[in-house]
Amino acid sequence: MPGDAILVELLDGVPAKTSWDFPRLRPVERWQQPAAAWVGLPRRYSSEGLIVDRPSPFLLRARSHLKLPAGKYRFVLRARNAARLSIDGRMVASTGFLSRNASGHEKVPPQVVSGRDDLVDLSPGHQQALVDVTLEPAPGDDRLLLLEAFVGGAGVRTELGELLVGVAPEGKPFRLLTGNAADSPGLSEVEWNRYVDAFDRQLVAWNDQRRRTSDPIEREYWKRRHRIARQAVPAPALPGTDMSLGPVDRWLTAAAAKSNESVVGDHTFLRRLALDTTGVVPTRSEIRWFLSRPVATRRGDAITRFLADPRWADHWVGYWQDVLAENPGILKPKLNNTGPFRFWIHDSFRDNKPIDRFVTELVLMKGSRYGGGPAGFAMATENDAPMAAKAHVLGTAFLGVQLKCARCHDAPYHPFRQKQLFNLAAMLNRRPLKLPKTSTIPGGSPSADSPVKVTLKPGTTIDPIWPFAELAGGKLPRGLLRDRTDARERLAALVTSPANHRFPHVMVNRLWKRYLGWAFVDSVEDWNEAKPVYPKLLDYLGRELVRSGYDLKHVARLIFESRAYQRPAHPASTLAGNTPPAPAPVRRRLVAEQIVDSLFVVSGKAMRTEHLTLDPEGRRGSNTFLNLGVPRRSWEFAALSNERDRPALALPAAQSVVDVLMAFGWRESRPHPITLRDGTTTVLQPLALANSSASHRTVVLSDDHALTDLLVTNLSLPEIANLFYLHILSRPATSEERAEVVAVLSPGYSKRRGPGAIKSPPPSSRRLTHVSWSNHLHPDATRIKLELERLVRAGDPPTSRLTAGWRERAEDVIWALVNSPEFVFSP
Amino acid sequence: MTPFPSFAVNSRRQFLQLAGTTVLPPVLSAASEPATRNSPDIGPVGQAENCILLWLGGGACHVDTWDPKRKGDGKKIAGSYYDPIPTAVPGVQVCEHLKRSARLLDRCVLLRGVHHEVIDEHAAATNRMHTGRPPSGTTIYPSIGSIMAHERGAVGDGVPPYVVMGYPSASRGPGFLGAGSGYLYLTDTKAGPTGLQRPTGVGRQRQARREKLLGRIRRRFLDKNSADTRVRDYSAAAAQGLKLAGPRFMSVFDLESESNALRQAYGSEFGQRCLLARRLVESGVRFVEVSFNLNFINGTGWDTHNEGQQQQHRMIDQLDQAFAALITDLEKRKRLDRTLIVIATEFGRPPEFDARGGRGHYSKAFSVVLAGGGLKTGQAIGTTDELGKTILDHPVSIPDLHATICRAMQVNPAKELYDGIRPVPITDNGRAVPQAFG
Repeated sequence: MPGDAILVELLDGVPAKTSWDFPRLRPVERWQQPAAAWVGLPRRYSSEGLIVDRPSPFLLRARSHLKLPAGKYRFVLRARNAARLSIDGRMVASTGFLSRNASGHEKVPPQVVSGRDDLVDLSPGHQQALVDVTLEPAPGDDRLLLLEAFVGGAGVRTELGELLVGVAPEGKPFRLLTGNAADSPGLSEVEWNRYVDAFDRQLVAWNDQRRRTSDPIEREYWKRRHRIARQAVPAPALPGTDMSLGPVDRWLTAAAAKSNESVVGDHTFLRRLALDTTGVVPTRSEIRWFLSRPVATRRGDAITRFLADPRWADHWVGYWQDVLAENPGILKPKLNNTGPFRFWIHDSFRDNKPIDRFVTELVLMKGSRYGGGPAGFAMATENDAPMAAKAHVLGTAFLGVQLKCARCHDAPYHPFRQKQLFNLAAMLNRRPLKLPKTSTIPGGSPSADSPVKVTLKPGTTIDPIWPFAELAGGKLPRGLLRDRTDARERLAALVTSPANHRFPHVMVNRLWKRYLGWAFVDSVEDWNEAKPVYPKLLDYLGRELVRSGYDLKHVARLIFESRAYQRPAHPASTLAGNTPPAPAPVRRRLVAEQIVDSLFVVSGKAMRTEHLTLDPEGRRGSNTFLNLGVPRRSWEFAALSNERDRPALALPAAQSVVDVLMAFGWRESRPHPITLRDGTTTVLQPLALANSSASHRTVVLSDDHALTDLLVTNLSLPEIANLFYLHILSRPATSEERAEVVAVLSPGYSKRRGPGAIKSPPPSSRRLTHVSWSNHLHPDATRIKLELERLVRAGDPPTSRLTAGWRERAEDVIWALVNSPEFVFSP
Repeated sequence: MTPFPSFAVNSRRQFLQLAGTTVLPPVLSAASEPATRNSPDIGPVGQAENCILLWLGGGACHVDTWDPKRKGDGKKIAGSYYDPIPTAVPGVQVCEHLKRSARLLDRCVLLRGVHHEVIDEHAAATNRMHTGRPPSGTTIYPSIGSIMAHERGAVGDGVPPYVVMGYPSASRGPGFLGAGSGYLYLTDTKAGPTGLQRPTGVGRQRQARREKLLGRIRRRFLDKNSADTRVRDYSAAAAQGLKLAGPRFMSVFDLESESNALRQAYGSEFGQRCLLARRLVESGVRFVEVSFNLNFINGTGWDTHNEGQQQQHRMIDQLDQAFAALITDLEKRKRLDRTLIVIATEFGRPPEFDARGGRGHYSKAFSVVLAGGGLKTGQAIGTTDELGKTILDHPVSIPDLHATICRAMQVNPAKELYDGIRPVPITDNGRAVPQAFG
């Protein structure tokens, strides 16, 4: 153990009792970190790279050698659950065991304020031990620190919460306990918040590293499969002879899809590319970098950079949440809810996991159920045929087979029978299934002249056999199956086998639709009787997907590099009629997540909502209460589940973001799979950007706004006008636009600087609320939540570094640009 | 004036307005005549134009409110918690804390035989009561409010068809009908509806400055993209949104403009919500849902487990005051016959008491109240046994309840709506309670 690090170990096998009395345990995870403070733990991954649950409870043990001279000290120990701290074998501080609570009738605990600037207030739902300790002289001032903390227990979630040890020599400020006291972080509010942010970033890095090293055997298996696939699918020769064109454009040209339109300008291209890859508008520094690249390689360089950007994953999660009907419920889930397998989706796209492996993992449904693994997909609460629901999802997502109707009867407008859906369901079930009573038409058989037919009687037993021989024969290439007896694995292999051409076609069609706004088969979930436009290009891209090792980024690159993608967007109405679409994108309204996440890029502010849970104290099990954390991106939100209409159960800060997401078509409830959201234009959409608390935060020039610092520098008015346009719409202003902004900002410009100093951002609302399920029925809980609602409505305090009058004018310009239709449409 | 038959906007409508055309397609004109009004083959039909749903979230106890039984002791002996009192309808009693409503019960129909089988979870039962169906893994069913918004649109010009006073949830949403049949919501009568109230610090003058600048910016973008209907739709929606957030509709939320006497007659925050509901209905909103589960009044709201039971009468009293004031007010303004009031909840509660004197959940029999709406009022339909646990006659399923509301609102409960190509009837074979219609 190095002298200046904390050695952290996690130990399994702790009995589920509220007692420190247990046998010797063996550590199963171990790492080092500089300070004795945690705001979460890295995930545990299986040998398949999937999130798995740790047993509950488990123990965190941290040890370190420290240099502390003899003298008087004050120690602070903070923990959610039982923890104890000893120095040189002497216990100096401890906290009590977390108790499960189900009633909701407790008193709201008072906020524990430290009353000193060097110690941040205690987070809600945590305990604190403050102790004075006198350390006797020791050789070399060397001390051995031992910290042990319980995580989880009977009936409570395995969440660490915040765990920290701070120390203050007499008369000196508190600092976090570290092996090397010289550079230990302080514990003031500002310093602690900085530590939390750094720790969160470290967690992400740890998780990436753990996951990417957890599954070597799996990776070998998939490499082997991809070799098999490449042998099975040869590359076609490209048509035509125009070597100046990329493959996509050559196939389009060969299909007589020609266009004389030139590609869009650089600013438009970059905004489009950034929104399509990262899901947000580009920053000014990204634009600057882009324009500094040599013209010849500029766009290619940008494509490489943005494809490698980890936010690629953020932009994909929302898509797959819809397509795979990810539907977690944070409170007693009973509405066809699944587990939060969003985290597995996110991991998969962070790693650019081959898409055949992604599908296979989904079908096998392993890993954590409530903690974010694909096992969460297996759940369908209050659904008596969960595997039929999953078969329906898989059919639409990966095979272009719409089995929605077959849930209850033979599909009237499709060649599918109810039996085929239940064949798939039985494969997922790994054994024959009985058709449940509810899986038929309410009120009995349809009339004789109805197009709807019922050929299965409730109670019929259905076998686990592959029902789509026309898509892929029952015979699989050698080397695909690892367990020949597992029907689920067989199903996954039949979907992802190179012999199944439908699957890669469905996938590249999804990609094309996402980036161009139209598709080879426009009904992306339903390929029944599909007559693809540009079938040879579709086939080429499908082969490229397979041959690249099922690499979506490879296909995305082919699309982004094409002139078709880079041409000006056409109105969607041009798609009508029988002529094939022009080789250019159609203009799309951005999806809800792109709009909201871009608002936060514009403001540079953190979302700072509550934890997405109604039990922030962690005193209930994850089968009834989930904690989805504090969102950083829109995909992390979920239905806020206040069907009880209790003000005390409101999450006002989260609600303010959800309001905007919902206005733009985000689904809080996803009991069934969809690809294309409701595209209706409603008055609530522009209103959400005009008036919502979330958009107000984008506009208000508080001290933490991305533009505030710049507006107090010596920028000229035309430069400020340009800054606004570049920052919000990713392009410079035209001379007319510049003049317009200058006219608004001229009054008061020369005296715009106010006297004020920088204020830190308001504390996050998670620090403000002590309301949890355990106490939400107490009148104080309602009072606190109503006060929070008021605070959220009031918004961020504006900076005093700018005079109010001029600041308001600047805010009005930001407001107008954010509310411009240009902001909400793809460029 | 801009019509708001729903939230949905398409630029064709806007185009017609811009062109000064006076002939609007029938579906776009406000207060469209219900298509089913004169169809005799689908049972009784009411005459309501608006609906106010008073939602008692948490599960209001029927034997402690509208269906009183022999009294229990709050401990071992099961039964009602309060004494019964007579009402304006001979032979029909309600709980003693409903004394104002009792005098107006001849304006009401009590449905005492409502039932479903979802008991263990509030959200699931709330979903059932709002959508009339169990949730499905293949679609999201619309709420009754969204169905009314979809079928009948707003009554008046320039107002939304459906407003919720309560927290947003999928159960209240439009489901497969799409955002055009969604709701506007507010959680605080003083703060006004979310999305319409201007942010802090933005006065009228500043808003004008903003809109002037935005108008120019938008104009240029529209000029460049004049062929794009999506862009035109969005701009039209923005213009309509600003109008909706303008003084005309926002003045509806100004409860201060009502007399003090009337505001006091409505009583508590819930009462003020009911007063606002009346104002919304008068402004042309078709369907208003008013939630009442302010749990700080008695600890648990209507979900009276344990100690929540002890102060339940305070909830009942506030309900009584607001409901009676609403009936009286609507009657005075000659709107009661055209306004259907529904008091509903996700389930009832058993006559037995739990270990700490409260009550669990019970859904095999509970009560829903209908008032006004041109119904044949002054009756209780359905009887439960001596403790309110078993329905003896006139059971009303949730599809039947929805069908009754539909018929009162002149909507055909058997009409098929479309989720894509899939037909979904408004109710699953729901049949309106015939006795409720004159």
